[in-house]
Amino acid sequence: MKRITKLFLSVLTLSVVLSSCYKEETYYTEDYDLTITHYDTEFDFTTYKTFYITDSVGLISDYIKKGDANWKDFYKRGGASASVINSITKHYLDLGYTQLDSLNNGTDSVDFAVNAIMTLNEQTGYVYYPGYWYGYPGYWGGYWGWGYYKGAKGTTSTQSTAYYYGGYYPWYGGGYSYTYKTGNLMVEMADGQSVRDLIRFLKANPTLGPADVDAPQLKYVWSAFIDGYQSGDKNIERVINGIDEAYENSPYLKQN
Amino acid sequence: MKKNILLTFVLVLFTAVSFADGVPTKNNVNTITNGSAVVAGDDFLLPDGYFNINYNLGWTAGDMSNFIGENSYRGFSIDGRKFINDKITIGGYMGWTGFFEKFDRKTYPIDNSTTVTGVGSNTYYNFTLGMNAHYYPLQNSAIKPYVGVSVGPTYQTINTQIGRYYIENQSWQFMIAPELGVFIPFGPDSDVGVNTGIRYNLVSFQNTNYGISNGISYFQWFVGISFEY
Repeated sequence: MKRITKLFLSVLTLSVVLSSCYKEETYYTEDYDLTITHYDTEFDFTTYKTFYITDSVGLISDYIKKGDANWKDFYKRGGASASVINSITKHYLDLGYTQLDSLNNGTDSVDFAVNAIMTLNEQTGYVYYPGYWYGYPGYWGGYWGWGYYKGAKGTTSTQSTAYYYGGYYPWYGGGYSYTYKTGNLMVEMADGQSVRDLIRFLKANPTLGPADVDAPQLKYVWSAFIDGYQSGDKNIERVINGIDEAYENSPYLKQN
Repeated sequence: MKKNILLTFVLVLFTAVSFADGVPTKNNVNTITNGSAVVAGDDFLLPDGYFNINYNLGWTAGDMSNFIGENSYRGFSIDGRKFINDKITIGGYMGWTGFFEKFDRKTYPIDNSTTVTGVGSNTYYNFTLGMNAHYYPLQNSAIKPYVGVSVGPTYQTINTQIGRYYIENQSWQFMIAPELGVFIPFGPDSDVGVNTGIRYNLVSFQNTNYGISNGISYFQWFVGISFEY
């Protein structure tokens, strides 16, 4: 009989070991960073000489509102927007293109326009471990024994945080919620003439949007997508690294 | 988590079933008869069966070695075997295996027009529940080599990821695993010993998304504790 008990215990131990094996391997935040480039293989980039870039990065977010602290931080001098625009501009200058400050500068019609859009979103999830309820019967005992936690002396407020009896509160083992923020940057190179055509159309048809069936299509010749999770302090640095990677992976953009 | 609870439950159930047919005893046919003196027969060393708990170290083969080249240090299995005659056992097998490989950040060209740069990883897990059969050629030896095979359904998770994007397949597949091993008792009279050997595993899965066109195959060196009963 003893032997069966031993075997049974071995198997129980083994099953606990197995249960803990599903944990993922070490992954750092930067490991999720992704850079994707895509281009029109038919297009000859040496026909382009001049470019125009928007003065700031467009921001789409489900947690940043225009004018709030994050928004101001994003658009401040030396902030995310400025750093991204500077980095992209520098890459085009290094590749041999000439920057113009307008899409249509008199006789100088810019060859291509560059736009950058950043999307910053927040997700929340909750993980609940029912195993903690089953695994630690002592928690049940403690929980029912106290009934409810005591407030600080002299107060009846249930909001009091004075006594939680250490970590014995069953809910503390029961699960955790987590929040993570994702970010991605889309950089697009559109043909200058197609951008001017679209702007002309939108001015002529103020009630129609760029998605209208009659609106001229923008001709994209190159795009980059930089994607990852946001971390504490190195987000801009990581985005800039992504921009560098995107241009490194696009040698056909070089002028000479 | 659900999966883990299920796993624990199945493992416990499996143990219960393994011993449901009575208290394991060294119930050899010739040891005691009619209250007379103990007679050691030819098959004195033949137990009723074995119960094994193994650690498995795995390495991939075939298409699977392109998917994951790293060894697996995460593999466990248990099995029970019962002699149905002097040389053959049948029983049940349960095993869990995890393979993982993380690739350094690099650029992958996707057709001519697209590049993807990132850290990739490939993951493979399976949980197998099957029947086994073994052949023990040496009855009179304390050290008992054997050949055998396990067959049965396996629940697998195969995943390939780059950046924070992945594709994953979770499915039941069929698995066949021939093996070659040996039981070595801790002492001449011990009914506990070491069980070790080599197992080849083949899972009937094919999917070009993961570059697997001829099934998932891997070898395992298993080593563990074996209980005779």
